Amino acid sequence: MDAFEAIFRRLSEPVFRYVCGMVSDESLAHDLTQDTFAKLWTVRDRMASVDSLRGYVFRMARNRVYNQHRNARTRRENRAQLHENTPDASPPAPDEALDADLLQDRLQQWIQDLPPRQREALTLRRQQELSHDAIADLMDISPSTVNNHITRALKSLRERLDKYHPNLRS
Amino acid sequence: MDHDTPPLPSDLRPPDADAARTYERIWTALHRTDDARASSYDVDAEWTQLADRLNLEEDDSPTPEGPTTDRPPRQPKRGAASRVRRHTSTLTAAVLVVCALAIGAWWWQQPVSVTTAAGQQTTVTLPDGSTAELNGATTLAYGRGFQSLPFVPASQRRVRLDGEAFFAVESRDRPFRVVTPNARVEVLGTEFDVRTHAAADAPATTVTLKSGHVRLRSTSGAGTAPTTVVTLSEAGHTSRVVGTQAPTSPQTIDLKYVQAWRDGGFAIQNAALPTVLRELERRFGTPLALNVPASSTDPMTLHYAADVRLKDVLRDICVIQGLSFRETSRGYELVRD
Repeated sequence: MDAFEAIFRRLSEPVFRYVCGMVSDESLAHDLTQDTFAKLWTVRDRMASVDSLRGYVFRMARNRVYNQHRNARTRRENRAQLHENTPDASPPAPDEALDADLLQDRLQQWIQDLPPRQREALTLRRQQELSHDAIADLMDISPSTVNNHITRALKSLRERLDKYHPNLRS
Repeated sequence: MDHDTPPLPSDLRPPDADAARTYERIWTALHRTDDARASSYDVDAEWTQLADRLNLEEDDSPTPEGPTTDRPPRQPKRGAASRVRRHTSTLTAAVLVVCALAIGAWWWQQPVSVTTAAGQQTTVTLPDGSTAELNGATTLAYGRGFQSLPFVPASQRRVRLDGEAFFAVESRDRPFRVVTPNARVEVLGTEFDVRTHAAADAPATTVTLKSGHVRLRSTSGAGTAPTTVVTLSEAGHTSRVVGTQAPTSPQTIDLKYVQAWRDGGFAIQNAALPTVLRELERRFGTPLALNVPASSTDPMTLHYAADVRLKDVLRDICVIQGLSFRETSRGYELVRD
């Protein structure tokens, strides 16, 4: 129990950050994080050190995230596809564009439009909890493919930023 | 930006310097979002929540499964432990039912209470069809349905009164009792007025009969001695219990004095000025202050049969007592000219 609590305290926030990057709804991220550790509890007999656990926990979290995506997609498809992708917000006024918080908001929206694997690579790499190799392992791809995903993600974000407001780059 | 934001990893840095700057910017902005979200993550709260949840699920058999599969369906456990648990839950249910019944019974025992603010009047219809007209600043409480338990009639119809009310009691086989802080009025079917007030620091109760019979006794002191019981049997009979003393022997007054407040008027008979002012406060809900010694004023009798305004009453009082009144921030005060 104590060991489990220690693991929870060490890893639950990184997992939460990862899940947050993958699902837009924060309360859903809380739930998925809780689910992950509830599942870990049921297999606690097989836990070894935290280090070997890290990849394991992230993999469990990842399964939950992808299940969630699949369920959400099914639900969406069941509904008549009335709505196409949400259109880009119109270019804002210049002074509005300078607002860093607004940039963050926009980025958050664009992140959600990225292909899931690009978003995932970007999220995992950003929080430095897992090594580059561990990320590759988790995503079942090679380390260079991880970087390809991230580079592609950054590139498309940059393009949208340019379209959003060219001056912001400088 | 943020000094502790990790920079873009070098293996992700593009050769183009312009692009590198933008990537760095995006990277930093994303980090700030991460941090903002993580700051809302309370690991202690999350742990408490998870621990709660796991205690509930503790009986899930641990499954030696790979991480890529989903949670298996719960397997019901057999054996002594689950039997004990089943018994425990039956017991819990029984305890809950008993508690619910106890709470229900307790709730039933709680009296129904009606309170009027100063200056307000209302009529309460009691469970037996009797009515009580409440003057201002009055509380009337009675047992739910005049029953001691659901469907079990109480041996008497009992109401508790603090303030003033005019009762019109339906004649029934059960006695009707009005209990005031210091007296008890017993009736069978009748109309009468009960008023409680403070007289020289002691609680006082005045009963005035309109029709029928009522018995009045003091509840404090030697309450059962026959001398402490007074029967009112004629219209206009009135008796008063002051403190722990026995009721005064019946006197006859004009019923208009107890009738006035019910018609929107005001009446009081042979009362000291402070008492008059207190009754006016009850009737009109406006604070009144007397800024002259009470001993320098005279007892007085007032009668307004129907709708009257406080200002008119005050004007008349001041003419009689040789005072004048003026408005204050809260109400009125009476002063010597």
